[in-house]
Amino acid sequence: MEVVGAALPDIRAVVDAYTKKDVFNMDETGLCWHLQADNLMATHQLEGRNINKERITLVICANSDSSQKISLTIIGKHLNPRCFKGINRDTLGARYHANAKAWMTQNVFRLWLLDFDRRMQGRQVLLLLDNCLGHIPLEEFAEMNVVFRNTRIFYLPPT
Amino acid sequence: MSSVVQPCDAGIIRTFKAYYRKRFNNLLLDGYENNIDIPEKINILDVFRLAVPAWVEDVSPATIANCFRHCKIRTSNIIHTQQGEVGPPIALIQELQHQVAHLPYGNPMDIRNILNYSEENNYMVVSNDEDITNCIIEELYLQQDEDAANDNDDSVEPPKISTR
Repeated sequence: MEVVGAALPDIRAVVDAYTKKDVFNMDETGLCWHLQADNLMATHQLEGRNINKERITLVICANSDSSQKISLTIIGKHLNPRCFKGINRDTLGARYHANAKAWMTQNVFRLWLLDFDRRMQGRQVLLLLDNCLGHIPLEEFAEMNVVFRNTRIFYLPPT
Repeated sequence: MSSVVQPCDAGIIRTFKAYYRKRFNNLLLDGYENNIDIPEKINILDVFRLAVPAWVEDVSPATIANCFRHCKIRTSNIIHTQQGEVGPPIALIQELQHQVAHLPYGNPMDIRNILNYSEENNYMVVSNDEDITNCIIEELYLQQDEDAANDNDDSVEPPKISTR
């Protein structure tokens, strides 16, 4: 908390330079998608050791005047789930990625950022991020020759 | 590592999840009412159909704006004392409780527990560099296998890569 407190003036100096609609925050979260609100079933699932199978990761992003919600990105474990057969993925309303752990990996992160930057065409926006391990340090983007034309990435201090 | 100055953590994600649970519970209640066998057996496509409207339609702009203000990351927000709700609206929590009371549960969970379910923080828990490497390798493998995997179904697990 004290680290954050000390860093707040710096954060505000950066945020204040952008209008509210141009300040975004993105974060990811796990979702146990068919977890039921029943302790008996949850215990049963834990004993069956398949509770992890049911977790996906979701990427959530919005701007500070709440005029824009970026469409969800969902990270699952299976690249071509059977239920997607015959479905045009562009109509799902969210992007889908997959990896063995259903985690936010650096690869998914990089693709998400490039897509976000394209959407911000013609604008200069600020994207606030936390220091989660799937997130790529800024200097590594430079090494990868990845350039964001419309987005300034700002890493928030850890709690 | 999450941050206390992060609006998503302040309540945007919790609110989204509460709406997801509401839509999921509705699906269960409808399923039981229509005598569907194991209504909780949903697939990832169903998850899109629940999660996308929960985000696009349900999470209110007011909640998002409140969460940004709450973090006081803008100078003009420091003096603002009236905060507004930063989590799921009370009416939504009550509705979730009402739904759970109508589901055939042996030992219903407190709604707060399901909205702060610890397993869900596990989106990038990595114990060491090897885990990260393996995760990336497996992801690359999945990409290469895209064509070959066209007929695979959900039951096909990606290959296990030994860490020892």
